Amino acid sequence: MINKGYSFEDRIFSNDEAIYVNDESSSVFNIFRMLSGTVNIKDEYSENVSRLSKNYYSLPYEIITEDRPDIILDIFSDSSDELSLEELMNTLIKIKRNNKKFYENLESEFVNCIVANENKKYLESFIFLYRILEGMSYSVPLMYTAKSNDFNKSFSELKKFIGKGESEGEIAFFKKFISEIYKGEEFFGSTMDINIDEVEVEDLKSVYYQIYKEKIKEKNILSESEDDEIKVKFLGFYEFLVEIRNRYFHFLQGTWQKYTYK
Amino acid sequence: MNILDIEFDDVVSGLVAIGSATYSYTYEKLIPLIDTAEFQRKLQDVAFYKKLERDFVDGCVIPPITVAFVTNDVNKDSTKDNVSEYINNNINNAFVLDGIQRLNTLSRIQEKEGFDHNKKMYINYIFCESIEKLLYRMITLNNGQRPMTPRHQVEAIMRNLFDFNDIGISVVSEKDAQKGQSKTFKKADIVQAYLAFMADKAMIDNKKIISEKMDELLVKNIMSDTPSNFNVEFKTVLYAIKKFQEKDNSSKWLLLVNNLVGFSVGMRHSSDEILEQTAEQFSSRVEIFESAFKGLNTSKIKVGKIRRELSCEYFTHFNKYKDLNEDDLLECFSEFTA
Repeated sequence: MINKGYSFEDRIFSNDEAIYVNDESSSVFNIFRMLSGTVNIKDEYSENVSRLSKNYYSLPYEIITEDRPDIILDIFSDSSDELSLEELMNTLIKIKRNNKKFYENLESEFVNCIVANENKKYLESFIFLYRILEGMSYSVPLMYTAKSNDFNKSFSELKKFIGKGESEGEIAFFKKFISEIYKGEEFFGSTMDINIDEVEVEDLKSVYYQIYKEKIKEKNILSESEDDEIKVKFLGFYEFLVEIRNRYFHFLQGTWQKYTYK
Repeated sequence: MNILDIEFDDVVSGLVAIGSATYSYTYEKLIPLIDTAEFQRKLQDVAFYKKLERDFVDGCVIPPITVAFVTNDVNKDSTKDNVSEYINNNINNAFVLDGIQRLNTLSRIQEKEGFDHNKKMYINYIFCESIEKLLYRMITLNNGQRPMTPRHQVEAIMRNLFDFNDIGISVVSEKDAQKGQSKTFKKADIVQAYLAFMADKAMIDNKKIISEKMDELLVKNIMSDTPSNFNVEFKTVLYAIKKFQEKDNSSKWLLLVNNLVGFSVGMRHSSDEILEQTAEQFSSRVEIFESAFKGLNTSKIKVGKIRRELSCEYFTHFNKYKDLNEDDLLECFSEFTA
């Protein structure tokens, strides 16, 4: 077995259950369980254990206070559908073998992203998040279309995702994919809220507020309270992520800069 | 401006009066009192106040605002006439304790066509000699107003305004529910149905979003509707349930929360057509619905959602579907879920 430099501890399921996470579990499960915040990740060198605490399947995220199998079941339950653990496992087991390599690559990115986030190293976390975004922005729409029941339809769907302009890259492709596929879902209509009230220094609140206001496109803001909160539309937040990333990595070159220094 | 009644508040030791005034009086006298800096600051939740603007123009009566005076001239012994006179002479020294956002909205709609400037609104006046006591009242008024969730509000309304025995259906709270009790609804299910009915939307429950966000979406949905569009009351839905639950299969069918929710939303749109049905007819429709539903290729994971959406679609456009046989209905269902 390859030494990955980290290992998982399952907080909910035990050895004999099909979605148990350990050193040999498949990457797709590992990622799934990390995002549900129900495992611990141990750094094999420093021996530090990070207890993941956020369930990202309940948007934007939910803090896990108690480890229960229901957390996992709820992810797949719609309305009051009662799903048993056994039924869930039977479904999940089928995806275990697909796209193995792809998930393996993503797994370590997710470990880095989530562990950094838990340790409040947000910049580090953001960088890995962006790598993940780039890593899946092309593959996920393809995987989705490949599962389609009707190839006729999948062709026209795929065409919708691919932009007309030549310069549009994978990131724009993924954005179109999200908006085409999920526009009817509730979460698509929800907002991501930037809570400026959490800025501890009173005088800096309006400074941060202004910065956010400048960097988020007006059309992506659903509502706002001055110096307090900005509610960003779901897909608008995606654009905002891209915007931050571009500015962070291209600080000096960009033509977007208002002021140029001579 | 008119004083309707007065009473002494022993806690802040000040006289409290309730009066009425027209919107134009309020606009002229009270809006200048608000510090302009304060006025333009922090307009909370634009969507919500847009809705309030519309309601203003449509002629709603807003909840009273509260205006305060720091004075000894009005006290325990003052009469309504004294109070009225004092307000007229000293309105420039008043300040607005509660209702700044409402006044803000009022000032924005002055020019709007159809706005009735002579409509009355109610104003609470507080006369108090101590600034600290007023501050105490202001803080108690403005804080602790964490909004009630829509679910909570529906529960409160149901507890007080619906008599299920009277309507003729049996409803129990979760803890009283016994397995296998026939024709008995769970309260939580009825609450869900009512919320969906108000939001005009079958999917109101979604574990993929935190409940706080879901509530926001729900409120947005309910607020985008105008109350004058509520042609069908939820009571009508309950009467329909009472009528149709006579048949065992219909009763069983309606007891499933996903069906109940879809049915309730559908009733908003086709109540006449649905109520025309006899219990027997309804029972056979439900049977056809079920056989068609069984023909769908649904994975366990999505079956609840699809059931809810289809029962909503079926009853919303009841006339279109009611005479179809099993096969034709299945075809419609597959198309709808594709």
